[in-house]
Amino acid sequence: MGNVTIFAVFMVLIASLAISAWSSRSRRSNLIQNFLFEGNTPLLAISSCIGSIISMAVSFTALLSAGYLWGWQITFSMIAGGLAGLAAILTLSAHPAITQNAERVEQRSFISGVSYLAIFGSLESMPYYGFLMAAYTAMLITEMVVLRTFISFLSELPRFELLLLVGTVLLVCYAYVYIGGFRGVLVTDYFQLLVVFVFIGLWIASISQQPVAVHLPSPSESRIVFTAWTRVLLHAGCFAGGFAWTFANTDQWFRTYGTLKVTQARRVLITSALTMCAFSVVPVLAGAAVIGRPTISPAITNGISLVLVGNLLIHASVTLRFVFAMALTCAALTTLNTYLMTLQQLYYEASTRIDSKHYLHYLLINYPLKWKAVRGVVFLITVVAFVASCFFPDRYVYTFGVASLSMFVVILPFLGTALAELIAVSPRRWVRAAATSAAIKLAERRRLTLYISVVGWLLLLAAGRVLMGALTLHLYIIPATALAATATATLVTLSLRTPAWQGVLREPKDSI
Amino acid sequence: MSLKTVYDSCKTWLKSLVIPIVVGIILHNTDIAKIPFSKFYPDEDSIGGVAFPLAQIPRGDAQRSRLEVVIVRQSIKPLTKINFFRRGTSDGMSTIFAGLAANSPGRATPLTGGLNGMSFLELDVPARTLGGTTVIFRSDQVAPARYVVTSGDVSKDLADPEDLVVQTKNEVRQMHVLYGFILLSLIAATFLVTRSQPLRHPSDENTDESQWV
Repeated sequence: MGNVTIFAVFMVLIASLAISAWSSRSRRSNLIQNFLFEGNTPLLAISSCIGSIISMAVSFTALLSAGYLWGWQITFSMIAGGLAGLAAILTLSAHPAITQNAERVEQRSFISGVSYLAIFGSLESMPYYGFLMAAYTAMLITEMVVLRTFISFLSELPRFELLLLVGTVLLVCYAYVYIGGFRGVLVTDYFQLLVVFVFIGLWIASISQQPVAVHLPSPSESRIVFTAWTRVLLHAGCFAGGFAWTFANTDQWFRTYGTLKVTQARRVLITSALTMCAFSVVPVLAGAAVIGRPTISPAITNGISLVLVGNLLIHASVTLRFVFAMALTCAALTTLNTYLMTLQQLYYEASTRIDSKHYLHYLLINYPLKWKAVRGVVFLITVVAFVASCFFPDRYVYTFGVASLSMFVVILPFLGTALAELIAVSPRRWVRAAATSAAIKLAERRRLTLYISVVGWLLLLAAGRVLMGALTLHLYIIPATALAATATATLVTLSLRTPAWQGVLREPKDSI
Repeated sequence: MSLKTVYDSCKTWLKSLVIPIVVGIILHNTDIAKIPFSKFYPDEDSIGGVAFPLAQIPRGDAQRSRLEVVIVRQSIKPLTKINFFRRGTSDGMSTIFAGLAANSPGRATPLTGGLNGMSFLELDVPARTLGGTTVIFRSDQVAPARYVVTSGDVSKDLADPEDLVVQTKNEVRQMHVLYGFILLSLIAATFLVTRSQPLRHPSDENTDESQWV
C-alpha cells in the first residue's frame, strides 16, 4: 500500500478552502473591520477556542514530551495556573471598558479594534502590538517546523517535495483566510475540530479492541532528575504557562470578549478553559506512562512524541492512518489560520493607532495601508516565516515554540493594570489607594515595564542556559524566567514615583 | 449563550465522536479505506526491483572471496559509454560482471588501465536504465571500494550512498499525486482569491471615522 498522507492532507485543504469560500458569501459588507472581526457566534467561538487548544501541535507534542521528561506532577500546577487565569479573566468582565466594548459588539462597530490592547490601551501600549506580532510570527514558524516534521515522518517525502507541500498548505491556508476573513477562520475551525473528533473516535474504537496495559508511575517520577530548586522552577513555569495562556491569550480574546456579548464570552471562556485542563492532562499522562519502558532508548528526550505517534500508527489500519493524517492537517490548519488572522487583526489595530510622524512608520505602516494591504503585509510576514522555518533546526523547535508561547507571560502586567483598575473601586480605603496607585503607575509606564521584562527575560534565559544546561531539556525554565522577569519589571515600575494624576485611568475609545 | 446552543454544539461533537467509535467497533478489523487506496496503490507496486542479468567477463581464476556491485543510471544522452574506475589497488580482481536493467548485458568492454586508479570496464548505458557491474576479488584483503565513473568529460565519484535513488512505482505515483494536488489546490486558491471582492477601508466609507492615509 502506498502512502495515503498526501490524499488526506489535500482533502482537508481543499475542503477548508471550499468551506471558507462558501462562508464568505454571508459576510455583511467588505469593510475591513467587518472582514477582521465580524461573524462570531458562541458555537463557533467554543469550537475555535477548543480547536486551537487541543490542536496546537507545539502544545500537544510538547506536552507528550513534558509528561515523559518531567512526570505528570506538572498537571497540578498547569491546571492550577489555568483555573487562576480563568478566574482572573472572568473577573475582568466587570470592567467598564469591556461593557463599553460589548455595546460596540451589539452595534457591530469594530472600527477601533477589539483586542485587549485596543480596549484597555493607550499610545503607551503601542510596543505591545509589535511584541505580540513578533510572538505570533514566532508561533507561526514553530507550527510550520512541527508540521514539516510530522508530515516528513508520515509521508517520507524528499526534502524539496516536503517543503513544497508545507508551502502549499500555508499558501492555501492564507488563501482561505484571505477569502473568508474572521468568519471563514471560525467556520473552518468548526469543521476541522469535527475531523479531529472523528479521529479520536476511531482511535478509541481501535484501542478498545486490543488489550492495552498502561502503567502510570507516581506523579513525581520523571525521566530527568529534579532538585528541590529545579522542582520549584518546574512548577512555577507550568503555573505561569497555564495562567498566561488562559488570561492573556490574544486570539482567544478576539473570539470571546472581543466579538461576543459578555455573558456569552464568559461561558465560552469557562468551557474552553475546562477543556484545556482536560485535554492537557491526556498527552501528559500518555508521556508519563512510557517512563522506564525498556523499548524506549534512554537517549530520547523531546523526540518521544514522534516515537509515541510511531507506536500509535505502527499496527494501525489504513483507515486510521488516513484519518490521523487528516486530523493532523486539521490541527495544523486550525492553528495556522488562527495565527494568520490574529496577525491581521493586530496589524489593523496597530496601524490605526500608530503615530505617523516618523518616516519609518510612514514607510512600513502607513504606506502599505495606503494601498489598503493589511492582508498584503501579513502575506509578507507569512513568506518570511516560511523561509525561516525552512532553515530552522529541528532540535530547537520546542525551545523556540515554548519561548513564543511564554511571551503571553510578559503581557500579564498589561492586563494586570485592568485588574487593578477594577480593584480600585474597592470599599476598603487602603486597598483602593494601593490599587489606584498601581493602576496609574502600570498604565503610565507600560513601555518601561515591557522593556524591563524583555531584557530581564533574555538575561535570565542566558543565566539558566549557563547554570542548568540545554534549554531543550529544561523547557520549564522559559516560562519560569519570563514570570520572574515580568514580576521584577512590575515591581520596578511600582517602586517608581507616581506620575501626575491624569484625572482618568483610561481614555475612552469611541473613535480612533 | 442559551442552553439550546450548548446542547446543539455538544450534540454535533458527540455525533462526530460517537459515530466513529460505533462504526469502528462494528467494522472491527475491516479496513474500509484500504479498498479504494489499494486500487490506486497496488500492494505489489510498493516493492521495487529489477532483474539484473550480469554476464561474466572471463579474467584470471575463479576464486570468489569478495564481490562488489556498482550501479549507475545516466540522463546525459539516449546512450552513452560509461567508464568504471576503481581507486586504489586492484590486486586480486578476478572476475567482472556487467549488465543493464533492460534484460540484456549491454555492450561491455573490459579494460586494463586508467590515469586515476584502475579503469576496468566500459559499458554502453541507455538513458533511464540502470547499468552496473560486479567485481569479484580473489581475496577480501583489498582496499575499501572507491569507484569513479566517467562519461566523456563528465566524472562522478560514487562516494555518496544516497546518490542514486530508486523509487518503487507507488512512490512515483505518490509524487504524481503530490504535484497534481499542489497544482489543483493552487489553481482553486488562485481562482477563489481573484474572484473575492477587495476590502473597503473606513476611509472609503466615511472620512470622519478614518485615520487612514
